[in-house]
Amino acid sequence: MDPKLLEILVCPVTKGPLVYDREKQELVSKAARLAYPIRDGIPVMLEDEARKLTPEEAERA
Amino acid sequence: MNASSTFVAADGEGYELNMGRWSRRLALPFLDFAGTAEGERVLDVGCGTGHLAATVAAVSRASEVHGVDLAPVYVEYARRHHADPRLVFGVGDACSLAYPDDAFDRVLSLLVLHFVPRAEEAIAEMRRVARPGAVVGAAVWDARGGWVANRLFFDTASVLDPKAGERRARNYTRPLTRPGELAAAWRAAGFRDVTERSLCIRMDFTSFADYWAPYLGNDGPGAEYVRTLDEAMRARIEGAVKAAYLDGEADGVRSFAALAYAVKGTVPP
Repeated sequence: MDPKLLEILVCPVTKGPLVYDREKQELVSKAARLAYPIRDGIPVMLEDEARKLTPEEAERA
Repeated sequence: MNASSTFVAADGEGYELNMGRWSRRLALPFLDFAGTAEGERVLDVGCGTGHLAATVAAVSRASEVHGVDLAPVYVEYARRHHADPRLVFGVGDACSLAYPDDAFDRVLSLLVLHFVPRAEEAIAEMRRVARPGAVVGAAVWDARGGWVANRLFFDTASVLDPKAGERRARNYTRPLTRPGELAAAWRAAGFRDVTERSLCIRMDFTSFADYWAPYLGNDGPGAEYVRTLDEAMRARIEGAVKAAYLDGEADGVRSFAALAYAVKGTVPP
């Protein structure tokens, strides 16, 4: 993923920070408890497409 | 289709045929109006296949040009076809942008807001991500009053099929496309120095086949309608539209005017 995107993107729901999970190719918003997928290097910053974090993940995030 | 857009998006090549070739042509007069400046970070909201963003990069010394669109197929196309390293594309919703406050020096949107049912939310987001003093600008087709090639299709089809008339009504009464509406929305959103202008391009076609091809695709309101037709009705409408295209002359080049409403304003300090 383009580092310029990583630098600027925020959670579209909370406008809060995101954590890049390189392994899962996700951008994780702890506050929204959502993980946004990165597909073929393109971040998909849509609430409807995001995965809900499990309680354990939300705890750890 | 997402609740944030009424535009049917199927694939990048289809969009190119339907609209990309015209948005590319409109991008230059739009940027003459909305401006560019050296070193800016610019956002293109609803970037589609990326022509406005690419034109910003081509004509200016902007430092970064971001494009965001709801349709992943268009974003993939944009990334594949525009190589300038200052261009950055992502998938996102104009009504819920994934950028921080005050992040951009200029925020632009070309031929998008009339497809956004809650356009005021998209405009509020454009303002939020623009820094104080930034220019925020947009353009929408004046489909009803200024898009000859599209009128040719919908007016002809509506005589033959009442369902086309219903779609014509929807197509020509989209949000922000009545005179003054775009500027009123800009003022309501709190922008200063709001200016509205009509932009004009020419839509040039090499032949009727070139004109008609987009209606046989999957992208945009015209193709969306043609796909609902049975073969007999499709052939009748094609014949009638062809007669209107030809005007009794041999098939060949035609050039039709197309108008867009453009608006710009600045974010108050």
